Formats: sequence, C-alpha cells, structure tokens
Amino acid sequence: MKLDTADGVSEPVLDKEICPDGLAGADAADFEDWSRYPSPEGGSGYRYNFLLRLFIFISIVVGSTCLLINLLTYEGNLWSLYVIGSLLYAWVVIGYPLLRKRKTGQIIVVVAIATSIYVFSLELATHTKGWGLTYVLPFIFIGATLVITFIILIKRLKWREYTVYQTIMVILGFLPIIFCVTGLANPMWPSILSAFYSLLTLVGMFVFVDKKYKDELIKRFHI
Amino acid sequence: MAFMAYTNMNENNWYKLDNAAKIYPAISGPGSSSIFRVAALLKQDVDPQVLQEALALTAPRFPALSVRMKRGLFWYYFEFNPEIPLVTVEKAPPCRPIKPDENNGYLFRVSYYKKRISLEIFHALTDGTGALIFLKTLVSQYLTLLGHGVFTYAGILDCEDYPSVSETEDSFRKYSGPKSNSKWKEEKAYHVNGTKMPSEYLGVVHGIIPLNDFIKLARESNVTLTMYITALIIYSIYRTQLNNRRSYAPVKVSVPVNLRQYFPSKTLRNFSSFVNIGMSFDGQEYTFEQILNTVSQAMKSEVQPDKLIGKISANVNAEKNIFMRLAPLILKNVVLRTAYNAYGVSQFTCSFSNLGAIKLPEEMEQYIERFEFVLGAPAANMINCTACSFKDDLIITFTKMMHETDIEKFFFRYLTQQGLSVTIETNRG
Repeated sequence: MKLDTADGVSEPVLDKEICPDGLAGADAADFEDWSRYPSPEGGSGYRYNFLLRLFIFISIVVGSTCLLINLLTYEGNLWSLYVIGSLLYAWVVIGYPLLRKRKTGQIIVVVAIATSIYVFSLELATHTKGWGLTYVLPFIFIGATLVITFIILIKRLKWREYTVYQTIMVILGFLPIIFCVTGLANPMWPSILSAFYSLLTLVGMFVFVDKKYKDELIKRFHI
Repeated sequence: MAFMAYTNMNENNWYKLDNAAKIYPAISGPGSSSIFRVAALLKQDVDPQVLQEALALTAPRFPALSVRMKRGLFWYYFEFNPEIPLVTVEKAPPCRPIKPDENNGYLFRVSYYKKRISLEIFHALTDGTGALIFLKTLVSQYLTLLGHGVFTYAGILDCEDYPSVSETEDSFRKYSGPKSNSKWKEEKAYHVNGTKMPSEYLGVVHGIIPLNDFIKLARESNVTLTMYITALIIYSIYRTQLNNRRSYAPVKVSVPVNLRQYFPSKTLRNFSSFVNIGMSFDGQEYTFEQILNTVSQAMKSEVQPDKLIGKISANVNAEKNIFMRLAPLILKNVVLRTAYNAYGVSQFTCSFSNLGAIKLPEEMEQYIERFEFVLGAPAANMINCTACSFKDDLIITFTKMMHETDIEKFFFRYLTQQGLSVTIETNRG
C-alpha cells in the first residue's frame, strides 16, 4: 500500500506482514509467508464470445436492412415485421437453451409459449384465420404436456423438478377453450381435445401422486 | 433429518425467505454480490481436514443456514440441503459471488488461508450476528477437535443440542405491526468518485487500533464508537472528495441496526434494519466536531424502537400486499431491483456496519488473534466500512471497488493525529 509521508503528518504504521515496501532493509525472504491475503488466481473470468456477437450482428443487419428496404419501397405491406418477428422467435427458441444452462422443463415451457405467441402474431398479421389458434396452439400445448409427462415417467427420481412445468402446461392446455368461447377457433375439436387432455393429466396427477407431490406444489407456488 | 421437527422449517423441509432476505436474490450480481465475511485469525496455521470435520459437525446445528435456494413461481424459497458443505482454500479476493454449484448448493463458503478461517455468506441467509454465531461455533468445534477442550458460551451453540424454534423464526413478521412508519423516498446521496476496479476484485484495508484508546477518544466527545466512526467516514469523504466544496447531495452513511438489541429475538436469520445518517455541505467549512454533533443527534433520534418497528412494519406490509404476492417472481425481481436502485442504494454514500465486541470463553481466547468483518462493496457505492473488536483491538475495515486510497488514508491519519496508534493491513500491494 502506498502511503506518502511528504506532508509530515503522523502516519499509520504499515504492518510489515502485509506491506513489505514499508520496511526497507528487512529480509525479503521473511515476507513470503507473512502475507495475510492470497494473490488472486486466474484472470477476470470474462470471455469474449465471438460467435454470439457475430450472430447478434447478423440478426441486426438482416432485420434493419429488411426494415429499410420495406420502408423505402412501402406499398401498404409491412412484410419486414415478419422477418424481425421470425428473428426474435429464432433467438428465443435457439438462444434460450444455448446461452445458459437451463432445465429441460424450463426450455419446453418457454419454447411452447414463444411458439404460441409467434403463431398467434403471424395469424393476426397475415389475416389468415383458421390455422394458428385453431390447430397449432392446442397441439403445441398437448405436445408439450405429453413430453413433460414422459420425462417424469422416465426420470422418476427427478420428478420434483418437473412438477412446476407440468402444472404450467396443464393450465395453458385449458387456454384454447377461451378461443372456442370467443369464436376465434373454428372448428372447436382441437381446443376441446387440448382442454380434455389437460383435464386427464390433472386427474392423473391427483390419482397417482402422493403427499410429497402436493407439498412440492405448495412449496413452489407459495405466495 | 431429526432437527427439522424442532425448527420453523415446513413439513416439506423448506423456509420462506424472511423480509430482509427477499431483496438480495433480486439485486445480486457480479458487481454486487450481497456477500459478507466474518473471519477468525488463529495463532496457528489452519488444518484443513480438521476444519472440514468441524464444518460437517457444525452445519446441521444451523438449519436456517444449511439450505439451498430454489425458485418458486412467486417467491424464492430455501430448501433443506442434505449435502455436506465443503471447506476450500482461499484463492480469490473476499466476498466474490457464491455460485450455486460451488459448494454443493450452500449459500456460504468456509475457506482457510494460513491462520485465517473465513465464513463468507449470502446476506439472504442471515445478518452479521447470525454469521458470527456460526463462525464462533465452527471455530470452537475446530479447536475441540484439535484437543484444546470444549467451549461453551452464550455466543457458541452446542452442536449436540437440537435447534430451537426461536433460532429459525422470521422475527420481522413476529415483531412488525399494522402501523407503518417509513419514508421510502429520501434525498439522493452523494456518491464517491474513483477509478473502478474490475468487478472480481475487492480492495480490503484493515486498521487495527487499541480499543481502549478509541473508547476514551469517543467518550471525550460523549458519543458511541459507532457515532464517532460514522462521523469520521463522512468527514473523510467531505475532506477528500468534496475538498470543502458545496455538494447538492448529502454525504450519507447507511448504518445497520441489530434489532435483537430492542426485541427479545434469538433468531439466527436476518433481523436487522438500518438508518441513513448524513449531512449536507453548503460550501462553508465544517469541522469534524460539527459533523460529529450532527451525526450523534441524528442517531439518537433515528435509532428508536418505535421508529424501527414502523420501518420493519412498512417492509413486511409491502410484502403482504396481495398484488406483490401474486406477481410472478420474474416480475418481482424487476420491481425489487428498480425499487432498490431508486430508494435503496442511491440514498446512501456508503455503509458502515459495527459488529460490536466479540466475546469468547476465556479459555478459547488464547487461540485466537483477532476477528475480521468484511462487507462486499456494492458497485454503485464503491466503498464500505465495518468495525468489530476482540479483546484489546478494534479492527476497522474498508472494502472498496476503487483504486484510490484517499478516503481510508485520511480516516486513519486523522486517528493517528488524535494520538491513536494504527496498524494497517491490506490485500493490495
């Protein structure tokens, strides 16, 4: 530690054990064992991720170029928003599991929600009613619930990790019923199938699980 | 584990985070780890194997600390951790963040370096008092295993005993009332300027001062040690950073208050509040005595049981708000982080935490040279200060995220000018 003495004020005593500079003439070898703090090991831990930056840059270039061309040649159709929306969707679906260590259940739920939002937006933007809300969303929810059920059956010891994701997917599975009631989904059978499948899963959860499962739910959903 | 039946842990072996703990997971990151350290410097080099054995015996006695943190949909929660915590050799600067997979999921780190045994702990688990009891019990177990005898004292827990319910209670909920009395919004404080260190480093400067001389000095001004040190921190910042200039923002020191002094709580979890004590500088020259007078008046007025109850009640009532409870955790984290930046860290210049006099059984004292208390510095505030005393020594420790040494240099020089002898130790060459 550097403490100057030029202004002549009385100085705190530098402990020789820590500040060998403050003890001119002492045997340098003696200080080796005296340091009370270790020298920090390794670097800063900061990593420059070139690939990630490259993909971010490419996404920005593609998105902004499309938007610029679209605006310069605008004829009533904002088609560049499809490109930007698809890029964002790709970042969620590919980036979410790859950028950080995630649990499988987490990835399934996030991808199912992101895909639902993407499909719903696409259906709205293209004015092509009758495919997204009617067919795609219910089957996404059924598929995701089914996958989590299989994981729970296979990884029986890790069932606790998946309870929260299973419950979220079961709740989402009932969502298409709202589309039926509001007339957004026609025909209604995929939505009814999704809700029915969720109901069966819910019943299965109550029939097969023990108190531990219920405790797990209380723990994870406590408010 | 048999202990669970005797604690506040739920049937399924889990705890809700206490009121103070809820903020820390939301605000913690590489630059602000919310980790603090209590350490004991022994008179002989530490034997890592014996320390590991002592830790394995000590940890189960502290069910509130032997947990891992999990995410629920609405709140984080602590779950009983059946793994054994590991002892590591100290290699890095103090108070670096604890990674979940680093110590079998534990939120504390027990490390050794030559003669020092350090306990670094995530503030969501406990405060300085809880951490110190854990450290003292660990050191006592270590010394017992070395054959130095069995030590019993109020501040050291018997590892053969069952934990009592009172040790794991959420005292914030127990002692809060319906009446809130807290101003959330305070004037923003002056923030120290300096050249920032990389976030993985932490500068530590210990000043070791004869305790009785310091007490004598404080008594001459009819103030407590905490008041004197708080005032001297403000004076040091005023003289080194403001250079007697006017500052539109007051220099404020956040001083934690151990609520166990005012309420009959025996909890080993968090149970402390804080007061922000500060002073505005209008360009006129101020003496240390003037600052000390302002600080002592403010502390006497702020540190009152009814005001402290009002403060913790405000926080507990906010936590009980139905909208807050029903908000998903991801949203809560954003809200808490924003609130902390707006009403928390911006409202004080630095923290000063006084752990007080550390007592040990007389027969145990001979094996310990001293204790140290180190706060991790939050990135926004750059510098923090702590104090603790053991036997005849008062150890004042500055931790900082900036290269400049002016503030602590001024602080310790002022004390030497008052006739105190100060020995400096630092982790920076």
